[in-house]
Amino acid sequence: MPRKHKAHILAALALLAVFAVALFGCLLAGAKSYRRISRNADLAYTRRTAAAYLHTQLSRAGEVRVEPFGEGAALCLTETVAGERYTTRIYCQGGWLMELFAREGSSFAPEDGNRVLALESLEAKWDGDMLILRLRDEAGEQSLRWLRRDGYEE
Amino acid sequence: MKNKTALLLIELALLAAVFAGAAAVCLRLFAWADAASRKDARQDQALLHAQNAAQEIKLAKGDLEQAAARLGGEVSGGIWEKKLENGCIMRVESRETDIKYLGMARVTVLDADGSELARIDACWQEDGP
Repeated sequence: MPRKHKAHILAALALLAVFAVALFGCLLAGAKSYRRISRNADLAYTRRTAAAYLHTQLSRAGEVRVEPFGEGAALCLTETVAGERYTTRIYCQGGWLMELFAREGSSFAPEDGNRVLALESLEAKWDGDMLILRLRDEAGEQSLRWLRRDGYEE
Repeated sequence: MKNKTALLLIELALLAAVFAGAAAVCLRLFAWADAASRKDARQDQALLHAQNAAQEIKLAKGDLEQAAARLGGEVSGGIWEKKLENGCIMRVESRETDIKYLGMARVTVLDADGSELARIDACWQEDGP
């Protein structure tokens, strides 16, 4: 094979190699970017949904109390249905935000609730008329404040 | 034969150029998507901070000093400002309303570049005579 011809083939192979490396690099960058965006979206979903869920539950609740239940404090939202008082307990158990809806006075264990969202911990405390919630998830901690509506007593 | 090899080289070079262009566009898009995702997360945080501030303002019935004492930040010239941990700035200012005994304050959260991330109007009933 003539020397010049060999050089041409080598040049073509080198170009092909550059092409392959660049393609691989581009794919890697895309995959990395996609993974980061997907993780951000997941975390944002958990945070936003947890905050929106708690806000909605608190806004529709009649009486709101904080009682020990599960692995810490539980939000107890009481309402009257067909003359009977029912309590919705919202609490954290085993890495999950749980909800337990039951007639007042019935004895249920924290494990009996329904899983709502993955959440590491939920702290709740009253500061006067302001309910301060601290939610801890994979991304960190966030604080949520909710002002008691007029007409309801603690 | 010589011409054939040269043509192959030109073809490969053209392909590489086209690919380089496409890769540049893709990388720019990845960077843009990343930035958008980060901004989205900041927007979520901003909204949460704005909601919390709105609740505090309602509790304080528009008293910015009282709300700032509870949630942090400083009040100056009738504006309550708080720097958030992600570099954003939350600004709260009282606003006049046409409705009697209705108090109102506007909570705005600004990004580090000054663009608005979240805005909430908090309203409450003022004490009557």
